[in-house]
Amino acid sequence: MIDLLWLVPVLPLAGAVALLAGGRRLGRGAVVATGTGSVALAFVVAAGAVTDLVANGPAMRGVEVHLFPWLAWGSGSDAVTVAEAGLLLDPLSALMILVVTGIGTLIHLYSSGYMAGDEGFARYYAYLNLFTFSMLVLVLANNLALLFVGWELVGFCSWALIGFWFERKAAAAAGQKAFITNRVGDLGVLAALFLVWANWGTFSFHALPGSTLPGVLDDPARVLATPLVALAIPLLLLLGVTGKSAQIPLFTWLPDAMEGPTPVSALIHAATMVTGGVYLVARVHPLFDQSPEAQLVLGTTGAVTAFVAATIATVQVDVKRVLAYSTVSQLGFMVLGLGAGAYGAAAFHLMTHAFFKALLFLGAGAVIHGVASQQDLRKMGGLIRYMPVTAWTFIVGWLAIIGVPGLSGFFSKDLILARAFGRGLVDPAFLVLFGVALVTVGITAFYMSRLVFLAFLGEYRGGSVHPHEAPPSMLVPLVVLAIGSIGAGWVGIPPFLLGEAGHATVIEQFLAPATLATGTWEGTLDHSTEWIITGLSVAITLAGAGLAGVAYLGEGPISPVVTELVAPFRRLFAGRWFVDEAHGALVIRPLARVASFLASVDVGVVDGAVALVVAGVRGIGALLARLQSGYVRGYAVTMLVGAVAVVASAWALR
Amino acid sequence: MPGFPEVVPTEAYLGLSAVLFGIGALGVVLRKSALTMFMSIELMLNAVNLSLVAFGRQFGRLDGQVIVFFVMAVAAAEVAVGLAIIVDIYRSRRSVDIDDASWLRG
Repeated sequence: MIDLLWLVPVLPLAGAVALLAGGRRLGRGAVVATGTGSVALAFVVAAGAVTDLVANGPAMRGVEVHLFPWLAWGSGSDAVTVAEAGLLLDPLSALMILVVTGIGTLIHLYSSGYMAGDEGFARYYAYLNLFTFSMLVLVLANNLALLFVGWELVGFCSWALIGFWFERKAAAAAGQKAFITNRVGDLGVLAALFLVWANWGTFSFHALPGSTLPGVLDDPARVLATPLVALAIPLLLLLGVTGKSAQIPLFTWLPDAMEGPTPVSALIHAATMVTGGVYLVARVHPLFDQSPEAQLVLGTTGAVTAFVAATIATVQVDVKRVLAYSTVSQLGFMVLGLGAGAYGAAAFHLMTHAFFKALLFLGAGAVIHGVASQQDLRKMGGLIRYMPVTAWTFIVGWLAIIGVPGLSGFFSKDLILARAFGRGLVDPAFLVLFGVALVTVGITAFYMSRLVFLAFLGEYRGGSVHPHEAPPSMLVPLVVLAIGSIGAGWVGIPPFLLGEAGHATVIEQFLAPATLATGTWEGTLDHSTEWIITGLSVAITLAGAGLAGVAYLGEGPISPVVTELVAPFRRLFAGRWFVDEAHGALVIRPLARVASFLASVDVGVVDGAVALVVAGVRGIGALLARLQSGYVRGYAVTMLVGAVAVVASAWALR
Repeated sequence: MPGFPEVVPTEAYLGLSAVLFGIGALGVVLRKSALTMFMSIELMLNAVNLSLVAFGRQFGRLDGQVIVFFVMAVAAAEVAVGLAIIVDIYRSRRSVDIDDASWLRG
């Protein structure tokens, strides 16, 4: 099936083209069938291709499909191929295409219920299909240039879908914010691409057939000759990651992106697109392995983002915003894993997160759908009695994300913690980051428990709105994702829990051909240390959840002493650490000032020069117009005087 | 007739021509009536015609006379167009005072 790999991105593209061209004339059933069917077919093909890949054995786990030369010119000995349109299927991209098409199919199906009454039904599905295509290009590209095309295309689709309800001003503004914020990050990626071209002369990850040039990933050490470049490339890529994967300082667009339809939040802004940055780093990790400094910056960014976003999530009252900050926080965990050099662990968490966060978002969508578009947690409560399937699947997602032993989040999160700690043994700074991450685990347990307690337990506070359960088209994806949220982690059960030797999990071994760090770091911990880390994280999780229980399920008022104590923190968190304000003061307003200065230069100097020429011409014209008195006799005198002057001068000069 | 030369010298024709031209030019410049100006222009044209014929006779060639015929033909056409314009101005303005027809000023 690997020969058919090209069908994986092409099928959703065909769906998007068909829907864009003829979507208005199709019935809703046909739109759903085209949109969902094309992605589901892509999933089948992807699954077949991955099955073949697995059958190849570990040594052969990297297959390239060369489609056609894309950026190429010249012929014969002068031929230059900058980049070809080619696909790379290795364990990492295999994992990604399964997540994108698998979870994508479920979310397409769910959307048929969620978007049922919407005017732009066909447009919605067209964009969703186009996004799926773009994401598949991003993860399947066999070179950086094509990857960047996918990278930009997903950004475009994100913009189109955040602003899907563009009549709403907030939605349109959120779309613009997401797009512009991502431009800042994309600038970094673009600059990194230029540096790659300057140093390798190719964008290909691996050498092209018949070419003497080694691929970027074949020869990552080439760049070490110039230490500045060796540091600059990963840092510039990191800038792209902070944009696409919503890390500090560029994370503020993601919570605003919740203005889009909820399934879009689930697919693009939780499960797939925002993990693009994580994927990018994992894909080109040999470049990061060259620079421990860049890795430390990466890890710090991740850990701090995880912590900051988690604290903000604790005070949000909009159910989707809690999940949005949670996504930022979880992406921070992944980036911490990347920084620690545990690319496999980060990819593993990416996968489990895709399951449980898609589940949580779709569950939140079902709740919002069931309570007449109410998103305020304070107007929910007790929903478990009205929508049991939604509630129970949501509870599964909750248990998975906070890391209750046995569910997927437990394995992937603890793997990242363990790897960060292991890195800390050779690089003590990572011990601090490990500590931050451990605290964040507790905060995660707190805000997610708060969300569940406020929404599903206690008394219903929604007044006259009568909550109802979602239709089956929405419940089926919830149940499937709930099963995934439980089971997806079982491919990463650490050997110490199974009583086996070694420390690499099954998923890490599978991903190793693509993600094994090329540095010297081994990440080995003895089993007793791993037990302690896991025990610690479970204890902190339970403490966080318990605290939420005391605060939000307890009878009677909370002591004023406690309220007083947490008040300044509440202000800080509710103000979202004032990152938006910092952006405004440090970037946006100075830029606006420069822009308004330049605008005044434009008006004053450039336009002024033009106006001056115009005024000059006009003045001369007005002067000359006086001669045109309209009095014929005046003209006659002029002519006469002129004639006399001519004759007189001719006579004088004879 | 004794005391008079056999042939009137060219200078006399040119002098008369100059006088007629001057009268015409002054008429164009000084008179306000469009019709009078028109007649003055005719006077100037004919003054030039006279000098052309005089030169033609002096040099014994017909070029001067031929040009005069051209001038007369053009003058006739000019009269037709010019009078039509003056009549039209009179119809719209009830006046042939040339200073009233100054609405083409810049």
